Parts: sequence; C-alpha cells; structure tokens
Amino acid sequence: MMDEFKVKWPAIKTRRRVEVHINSLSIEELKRISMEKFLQRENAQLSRIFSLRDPNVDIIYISPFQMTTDVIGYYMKILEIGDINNP
Amino acid sequence: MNIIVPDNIMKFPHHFSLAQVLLYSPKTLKKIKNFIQGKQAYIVPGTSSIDDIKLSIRLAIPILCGEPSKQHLYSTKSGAKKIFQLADVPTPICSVDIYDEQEFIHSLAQLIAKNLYVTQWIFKIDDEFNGRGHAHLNVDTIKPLQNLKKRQLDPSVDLVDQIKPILAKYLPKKVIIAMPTLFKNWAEYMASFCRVGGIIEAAPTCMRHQMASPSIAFFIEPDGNTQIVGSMDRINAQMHVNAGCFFPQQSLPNMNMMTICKSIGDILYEKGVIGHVTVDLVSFPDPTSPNAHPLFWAIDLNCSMTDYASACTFFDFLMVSTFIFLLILISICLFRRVKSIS
Repeated sequence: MMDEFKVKWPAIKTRRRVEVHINSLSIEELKRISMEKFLQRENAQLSRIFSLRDPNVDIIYISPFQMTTDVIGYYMKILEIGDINNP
Repeated sequence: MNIIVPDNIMKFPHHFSLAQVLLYSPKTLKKIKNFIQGKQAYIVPGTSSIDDIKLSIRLAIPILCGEPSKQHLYSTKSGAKKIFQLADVPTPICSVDIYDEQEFIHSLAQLIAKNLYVTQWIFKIDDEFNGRGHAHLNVDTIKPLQNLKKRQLDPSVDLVDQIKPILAKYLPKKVIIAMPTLFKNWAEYMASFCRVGGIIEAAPTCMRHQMASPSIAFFIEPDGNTQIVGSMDRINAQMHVNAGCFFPQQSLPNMNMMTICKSIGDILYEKGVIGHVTVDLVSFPDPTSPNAHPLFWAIDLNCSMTDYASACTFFDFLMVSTFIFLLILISICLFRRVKSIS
C-alpha cells in the first residue's frame, strides 16, 4: 500500500483527496505521564485544518476532546474569511 | 471538514495517546471508514508509533510517514548528528552515543582538553524533546579547570587525565539542569541519560544575546521532493526551554533555506523517512568577522509535524486571505475614485 502511495503521489497531490489528521503524541508512556496538559498538547495542532486552503483537500480532524462551540466557531470564522464557507 | 472525537475517549486514562484511543473506538473508526469510502485518503500523523501504523491498516489507507522506528531514530540527538554529517551541514563539536557515566566523563574531558576556548558544554538526552533532557556546564565556573586552562594550552593525554577527576567532583554541583522538575539532581539526570543515551555538544563562544535559534520546517513528499513549509526564530523563556517563536526567521537573512532542506531531505528520504520534518539551528556571529553574515550549526531534527510547522499552515492561509482582502479593498477604492471623477 505504501509503495503504491509513493509511486502515485505526484497524481494524488493534484486530485481530490481526504487527509485524516491524527496528531497523536505516540511517545513513551513514562513521558506522556510526566507531561502536563497532555490532551491539550495533542490538540495544539488544530491549525492543521487550514490545509483546506487547497481546494482539493477534505479534512477529517481527530480531536482528543470535545472542543467548545466558541473555539470551533472562531476557527470557522477564520475559514470563512479565507473564502471557505461550509467547510 | 469533519472534527471527530473518538467515541471511547472518556473510558481511557488521559495519558493514552490519541492513536491508541482511536484504535479502541470501533464506532469512530467505522464512521471514518464510511466517510473515506471510495475516496483517495491518507493519514497525516503526529509523532508516529506502531499504533499509527495499526490505524493505517485498520482504515486501509496509507500514512504520511516512514517506518516509526526510523522516524524516531533520526529524531534523537545522536541520530540527527549522523544525518547532518551525511548531508554536509555544519554542526557543533560534539560527542554522540554516550551510554555510560565513565564514558560521559571521559568524552567531556577529551572535548574540554581539545577545545579549551569553549566556555559552555550542553548535554542532551537522546529521546527527549522541547529541552526536557537538556543540561549545561559553564567551564569557567570550575576553578581548577580555569587554572588548567591558564597553565596548559596544548591538548595532550595528561590534560584529559587531569580533567577527569575534576569533572567527577564538580559535575554534580555545577551542572545546570534545564527542567529540574523532571530531574531533581545530577544523579537522576545521569541515570536517565545513560538509560537512553545522549550527546555532549559545544555552545557557540559568543554572548548569549548574540545567538539566535532559527528553525526550518519542511515536507518530504512520498516521491522524495522536498518543500519548505516555513521558518521561525524560537525564543526561550529560560535556558533551553522554548516559550514561543517569531515567524519567519530573520536571524539568517541570506541563508538559502531550500539548499539545507534539500540536502537533509534527500538523506532522510534515502533512509526511509517521509512527511513533515523540522530542523533546529543555532546562529551566531562569525568570530573572525563579526559584521559578516552570521554562521549557523544544525543542532536538532524532528521527523514529525511540530506545533510551529502546523502554525505555518495557519499563517500561510491568513496571508493569502489578507492578500485577497487587500485586492478587494484596492478595487473598491479605485471603483469609488473612478466613480467620483466621472
């Protein structure tokens, strides 16, 4: 699957595609335990959703917790400014 | 765009990684599968592990990273040095792959003896990040070393033998650990250092305020092409602990970022690494001509998307929007002006 992905990449990147963003901090368990606000750190890359600037990209963003409507509304507003309505 | 929270997220402890929780959330996996059915899809991971690969297999879609063990190996301090050497990128004087306290003291004594002009040595634990495994030693704070420096300037075996007992005595007292909350004292730090390995490297011999810490984020496409994502100047709240950054980097104004990214990217691709990479540099004035363009050393490599790299996507998006907004504004102004004239 990966070999095929590598070969087809030049074509894939120009076509319609779905990016599944999973910002998992899959590091050693001991480090995860010793980190403060681990879930928030996993959600620190919410700005990945701005990959939507490429009109061929659809995004599934996996969030480690339910974000408030205010936070989601804020990001939706920014997307709207960039001409991405109903993302 | 779909923002999905794994259905079983509340059933697992908070320190479980997102990939682990998602693996154990069958309803969410089914939801994702339904959404991507018949479409070209791929996973863009964070710091990848075997769990991310399992997810890729469960969802039957490729993942935008190489083998996790390789991504991890070249993100370690010792692994990164090997990549920089192969890519012919300047690095500080260093000793890598240290796994034993005696070896540590011997290597540091050798480095000090051969480089008496270096005033600060930095120690880094291989698999730590964000300065968590950093510590440093200011050579000038150890009087017997200062005296040795004054007496003898030629590197020799004798000098190493003289330095070793001094280091063994003074290291526990004089080393400054970047995160004392993680390692309460030298013994704890050394135990962790020897367990996973680490490096010793020289700090630039200039004033602290003359140094800067630029980083470059780039993307190694699955076909081997390298693209720059962005650059930034990291700022530290305290020694080795990053607190934020300025976009884009301005400490190396004339540096050809593409050349350095391409040379590192090509080597990493050969080694089987793809996806997002960030290279950390340190810049400092050229000691032979302070007014010339600053010099730099490559000090760290991160073979995954960093928070700052993802912020670059945001700024990129905002800049394009601002440009469109400005164009609209200019058009309205011109239209009004033409209308008022007519």
